[in-house]
Amino acid sequence: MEQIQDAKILLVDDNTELLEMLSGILTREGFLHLFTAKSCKEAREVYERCQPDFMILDVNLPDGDGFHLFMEFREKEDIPALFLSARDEDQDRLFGLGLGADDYITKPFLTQELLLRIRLILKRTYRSVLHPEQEAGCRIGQAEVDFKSAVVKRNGTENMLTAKELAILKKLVDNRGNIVTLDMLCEAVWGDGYYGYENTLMVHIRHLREKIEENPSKPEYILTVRGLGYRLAKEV
Amino acid sequence: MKSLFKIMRNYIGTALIITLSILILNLAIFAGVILYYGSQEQDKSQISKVAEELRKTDQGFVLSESGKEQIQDYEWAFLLDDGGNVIWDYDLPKDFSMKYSASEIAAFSKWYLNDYPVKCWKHADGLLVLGEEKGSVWKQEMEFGMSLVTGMGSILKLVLAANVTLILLFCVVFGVHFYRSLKPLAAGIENLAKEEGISLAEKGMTGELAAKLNQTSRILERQKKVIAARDTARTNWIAGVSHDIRTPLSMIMGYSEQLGAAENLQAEQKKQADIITAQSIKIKNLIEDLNLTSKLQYQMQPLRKEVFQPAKLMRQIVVSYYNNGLDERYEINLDVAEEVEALNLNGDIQLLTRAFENLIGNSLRHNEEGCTVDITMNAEFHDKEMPSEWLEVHVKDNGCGVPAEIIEDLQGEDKTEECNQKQELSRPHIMGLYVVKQIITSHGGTFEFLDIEKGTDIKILFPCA
Repeated sequence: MEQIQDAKILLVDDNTELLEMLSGILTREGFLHLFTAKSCKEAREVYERCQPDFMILDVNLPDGDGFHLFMEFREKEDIPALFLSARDEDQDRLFGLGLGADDYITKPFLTQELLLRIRLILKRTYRSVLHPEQEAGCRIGQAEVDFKSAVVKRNGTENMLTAKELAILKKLVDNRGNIVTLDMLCEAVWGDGYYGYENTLMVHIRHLREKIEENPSKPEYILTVRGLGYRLAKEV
Repeated sequence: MKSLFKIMRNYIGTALIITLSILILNLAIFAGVILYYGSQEQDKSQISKVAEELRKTDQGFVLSESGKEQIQDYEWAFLLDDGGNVIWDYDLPKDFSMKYSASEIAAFSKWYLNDYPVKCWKHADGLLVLGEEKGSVWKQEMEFGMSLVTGMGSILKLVLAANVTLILLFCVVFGVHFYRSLKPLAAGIENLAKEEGISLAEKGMTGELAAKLNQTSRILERQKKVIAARDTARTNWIAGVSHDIRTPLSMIMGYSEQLGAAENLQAEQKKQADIITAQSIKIKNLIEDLNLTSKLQYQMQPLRKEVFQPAKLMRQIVVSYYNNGLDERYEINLDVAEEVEALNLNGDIQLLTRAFENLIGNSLRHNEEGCTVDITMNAEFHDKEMPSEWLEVHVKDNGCGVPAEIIEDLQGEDKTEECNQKQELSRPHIMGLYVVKQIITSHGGTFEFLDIEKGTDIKILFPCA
């Protein structure tokens, strides 16, 4: 798998029209390895044949339910899955997520939201396969970050990152383009019960900017979103 | 129970008043009778005057004219000398003896002479004896000890006091007995008012009442079950319908989104596809709110309470709007007070998220030209030393505001549940806000629209304890 579009996706739903529509949406997004099944029995056959990288499962199926199907497949292999169901009860959602599914989306859904979530799951699961280089490091503007050695190179100078700075930066890189809340960053560094570290977080961010930004007082990459958190700007 | 005590107090008071009134009335009647007959007796007791008018002359004894008038009240009269001989008489029947011994005199002076009631009076020359009509007077010897007569006043007081004490005692004893037997009944009625089932012992003087109350309780219980079953059926029906709508609606939304993004369509057609998408999203939100509101209404959605940090939750909610591509027309700001950061609440995160998403979504949906949503979180301190008691959240926008009639519908606190239910059905467009109110109030919080010049300002208070 070189890019997420290469992922083999198994779609299981008893409604043919919905399967067709989902296939259409995913095809348009560039996902070309799609396999569909309308029942548990069919899903098992397709699973054996295609060995999917990702599954989208309905809960209500004519010959069983998606939960059991998911548990069956999970026993064989730890592949990511998303439940897409008309059952909106809290207990269904909690049960599905409790089984270890990566997400639970209730119908009706927004196409864009579904695609965002699929991409997120695939990126997260196959990060090391898709971007081995990103695991090792990344480029932020003029700065080259090496996660393994915790070093930032910029304009010929090298700066070491502290463990906390590294944790913050990794979290921002993982969610590049999105806002990461103060809470998520603090949790990444100090774990649960991080209350009171918000000011310390600001200090670490300032240090990070000094190492990465051209002009730390006017940051272009590590951006503050007032009252909410920080965002690492996307590569231009 | 207070009312029962009051009833008992009134009962004892009334009984006392009745008894005392009867007592006073009897005394008054008795006094009246004594006075009336006393005066009549006076008329008759002219015997002394008769004695005065009977004078001894040379021609023997003579009764004056006025004496004769006086004597008309009597049947006969005679005068006895000290030897017991009749020395004067008036209309004395023939069969009467003309001489009486001392024992005879002693006997008739107290009782009767030949069945005539007799009155005697001391005359200068002997004893004047007057006979009254037969059967007109009942004679009974009465004799009282002197101590009794002199002590009569205090004896009467004592008797009266004893009477009143006895009456009071009976009143209290019966009152307490009555109170005791009414107590379980009153408790039963109180429980009925609280919609609790009752089963009272059906015996004693209140047995019949208890039986009726038990019967009422059974009827209420039965009705409650019927209503609960109907509510469950309705909620299940809504859940079922909303479930069945979901898949077809997914298709409508999926294809309309695709059409809206299609490059080979004309602008007008794309716009139409976008409208279908937007309307489908409205239906999606509506069925979700409808489902939730019916579950909350009939307590079929238990609160899954857990401890959480409200500041963190709110940041997540706001950030999810930005990360999911919030249109540039909109801006959502969050301002969290320092003391709120440390605050922990106990609540259903899913439901509260839904409530805040509904509020923010409402601001975004109804202001297509764009607006700024300002969310502020403050902790209200009644005492600076104590932990905060209330979390205050304001969701404010500078958009077109919520129509006054919707605010009225949602704010009317004096309205009954039934009334709210009716409105909920008659105004489906307030469903989203109605769900917010339900969620907030089920967490013990309050929900209030503040009066501002432009836009909407909703103030929410959560208890922290």
